[in-house]
Amino acid sequence: MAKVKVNLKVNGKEHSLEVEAATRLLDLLRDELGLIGTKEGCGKGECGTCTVIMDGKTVNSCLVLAPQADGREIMTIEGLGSPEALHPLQEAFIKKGAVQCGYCTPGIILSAFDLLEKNPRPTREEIKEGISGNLCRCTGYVKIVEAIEFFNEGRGEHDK
Amino acid sequence: MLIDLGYRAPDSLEEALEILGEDSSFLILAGGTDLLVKYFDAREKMGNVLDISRLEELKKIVIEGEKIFLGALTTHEEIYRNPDLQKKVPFLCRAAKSVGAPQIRNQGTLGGNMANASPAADLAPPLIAVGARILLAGPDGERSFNLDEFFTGPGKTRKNPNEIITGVEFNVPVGDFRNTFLKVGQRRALAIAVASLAIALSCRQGKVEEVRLSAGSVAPIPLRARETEKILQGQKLDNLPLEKAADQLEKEASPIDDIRGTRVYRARVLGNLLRKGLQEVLSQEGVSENG
Repeated sequence: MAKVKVNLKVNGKEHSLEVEAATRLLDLLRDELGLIGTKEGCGKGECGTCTVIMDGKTVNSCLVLAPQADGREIMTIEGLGSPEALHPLQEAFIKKGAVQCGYCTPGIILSAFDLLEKNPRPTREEIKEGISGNLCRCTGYVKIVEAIEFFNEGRGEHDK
Repeated sequence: MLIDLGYRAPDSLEEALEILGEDSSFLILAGGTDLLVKYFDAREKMGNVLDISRLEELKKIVIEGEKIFLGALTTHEEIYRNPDLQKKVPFLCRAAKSVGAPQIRNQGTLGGNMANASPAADLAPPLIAVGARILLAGPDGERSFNLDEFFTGPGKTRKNPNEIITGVEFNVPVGDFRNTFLKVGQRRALAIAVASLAIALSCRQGKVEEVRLSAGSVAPIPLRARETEKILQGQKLDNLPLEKAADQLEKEASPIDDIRGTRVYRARVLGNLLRKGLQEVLSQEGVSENG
């Protein structure tokens, strides 16, 4: 396959790259840009570990060809917070013990972030549905749902 | 010159059709949720890729009264979230919502669901039950098929390699139209149907005026259950021959054994889906005769 030019914005920064057409968005983010917060799990769209937000929608970056991301805006976990300044949603995951091995965490946090952007007051059922595309094999999800609720309660108090 | 054209992403349908007119070996890529799984460990074998995901003209949803057109690039999430569709064809939205998870629904398209031609394609049963036509465009012009005649086998359709699916169109039945979509999978998210059933029922004066049934994952193609429809046609709503219809539907299906379920289990589940689905549509509030 031919090399293809890809211009895209990742976490607010413009990038111009040339990649093999068969490259996945996941590979572009990890191997070309060094954004290794996005993980590869199954590589087949089943586990959601590689979730990123593309033009305001969550996608599995293993199912997007890098050239398809040309002209688009991507947000990865690195765009949400940094080790020095975690996003409050990330803080909530730590506080509530919602992280065990941590491999699914970036994807789950982005799914939760996207859900809360679109639905600021989700019910517990809506939270479960919002993260239904993300598998976690450690936690059993209870603490993850609690962390999302905890973040949202905190945010609610903030609003007052 | 077709050297070094391994990946093309045209901006217009016209340009896409020109490319296919010159070389129909291009693999047509839209949302990628099926193709990138199929070529998971051999993406180089995708060969020449025609990425149609930038064709704005295929992203339209047009609703004019009862006439509905859904562009091929409409995503499952867009179908599920559309308030007009939720009102007019709730079973189509329910089927769209039953697909995958948010990420898959954001990526996967209606046209892709049809082109992939899985017997389990969740959008096919409600679209068949509502009498949809599928529209194709190719270098030699446009063609269309009734959707229940479009699929020819698992992964096979009547679409030629040089044709692109542009959308589906259908008319929502007027009057007392009731519908439902039921799906049994192994879990609630990311589940491929073990069996699914769409029921579209038009009622008049307490009787079944017209009924269409379409089932998924119980035959080589999304099944239109015509023989079962005949049993229900014209029957009184307060005395539907549920058992006879369920028996016939089990006979009409030809499921297989696979990792998701056995032949026997699928047939039994299908009969139960009809019993449950008919009870559900009977309890729905139909539009009044005058309304």
